[in-house]
Amino acid sequence: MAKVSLRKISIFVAVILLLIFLHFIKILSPVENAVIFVLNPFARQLHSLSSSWRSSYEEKTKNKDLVNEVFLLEKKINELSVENAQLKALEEENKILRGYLQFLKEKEFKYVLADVVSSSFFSNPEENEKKITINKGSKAGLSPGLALINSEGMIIGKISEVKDYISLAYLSTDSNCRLAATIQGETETEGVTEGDLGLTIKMNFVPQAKGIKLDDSVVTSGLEKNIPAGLLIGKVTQVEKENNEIWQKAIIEPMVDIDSISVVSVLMP
Amino acid sequence: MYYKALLNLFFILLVFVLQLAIFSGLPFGLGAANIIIIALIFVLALTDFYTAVWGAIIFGFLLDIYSFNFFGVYLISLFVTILFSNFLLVKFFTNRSSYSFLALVFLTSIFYQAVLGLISFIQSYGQIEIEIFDKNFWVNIFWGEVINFIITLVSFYLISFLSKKLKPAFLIKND
Repeated sequence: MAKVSLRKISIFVAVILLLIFLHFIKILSPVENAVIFVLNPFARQLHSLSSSWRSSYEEKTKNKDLVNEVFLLEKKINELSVENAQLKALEEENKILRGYLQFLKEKEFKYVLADVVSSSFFSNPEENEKKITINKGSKAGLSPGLALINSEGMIIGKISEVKDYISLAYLSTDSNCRLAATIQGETETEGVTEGDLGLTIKMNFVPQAKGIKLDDSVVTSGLEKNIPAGLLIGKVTQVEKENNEIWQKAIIEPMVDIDSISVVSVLMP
Repeated sequence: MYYKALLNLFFILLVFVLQLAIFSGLPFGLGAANIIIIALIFVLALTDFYTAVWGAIIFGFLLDIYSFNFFGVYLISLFVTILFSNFLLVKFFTNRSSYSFLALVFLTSIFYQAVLGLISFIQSYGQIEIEIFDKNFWVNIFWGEVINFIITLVSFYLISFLSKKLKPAFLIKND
């Protein structure tokens, strides 16, 4: 191995400093945009391939618990049959709930479709971050704070930062993703959701007096700018209530596997 | 010469896109693998230090374009990492055995994570909480290293099979 020349090392340091300097005075912007423009289509294709591998892996893992799942599903079907009978009697109220679910179609929100080009690579594992990079940026009208939804209209995250042709978004299970939320059908029960360890979502700042039940649907409250009310966040799986606390906490499970998402819609203001 | 430069650039872009798009989305510990570091170690050992530094600069530049951190974080981290890796290669792992490569990849990727974490910590004015007592932190590092080991071994034997650069050379004594 040849001896490293100090003069050449200085040249490399100068090149690095020059690149950083040229980036900040925006001279490199056309080059950076060109790189993104060329690489994004490949990254998009490869990421969707990787997502499908991830989905099939998770599917296989799930299959191991199939017997248990069948038993649980049978139990669930019985419960749902009872619930369905009650719901039929409440058809009038259901129209309002349907309005919530179909609000996207009814209100005709403007949205931008985007593909995920990378997930988790720029996340800090020690912080349990859940970030994704999508292939649309400020040139497509995106700005920080806009909501990311999946094909069923469920909110899955929020735009955090934008560049010209790419954006960074926090998924709803990331602790940096905070959403103003409420229990569906109970407009008075409001709180703030935030990701918990990159796995679930917790809803904080819910007054003790307000009732939260298991399996309640949690939706966005509409108190945030650019995020409309009624976007489904997930279902309550656990309620933590301490007598000596002012607030109670609910653990929410997202209803879709947001880790293997490959296409998202960004709701525009 | 231009042909070689274009081939190198293609190789760098391929590794970068694989890391960015494929490995980032894979389940289990596969997502924690760092093929950029592995590629740079092989370039350092099979070619020369300066080619590896150019590789590190191009990889760093590409990562900084896609990253939303302070621009230059990856450029600096990879440059410092390749200096460290060259130091290890020259001082401790002079033979080209699979054990040397495994040790080099292990130490280099740990060093890279540490440098990256340190720069991000300084850049955020100490606001990032690095949870070294968190189990997930160590589980991620463990699986990342296991996957790096497997990729390094496969690459090592593949290169040994295809090229003579990693084959052991024996000095024969002439009486």
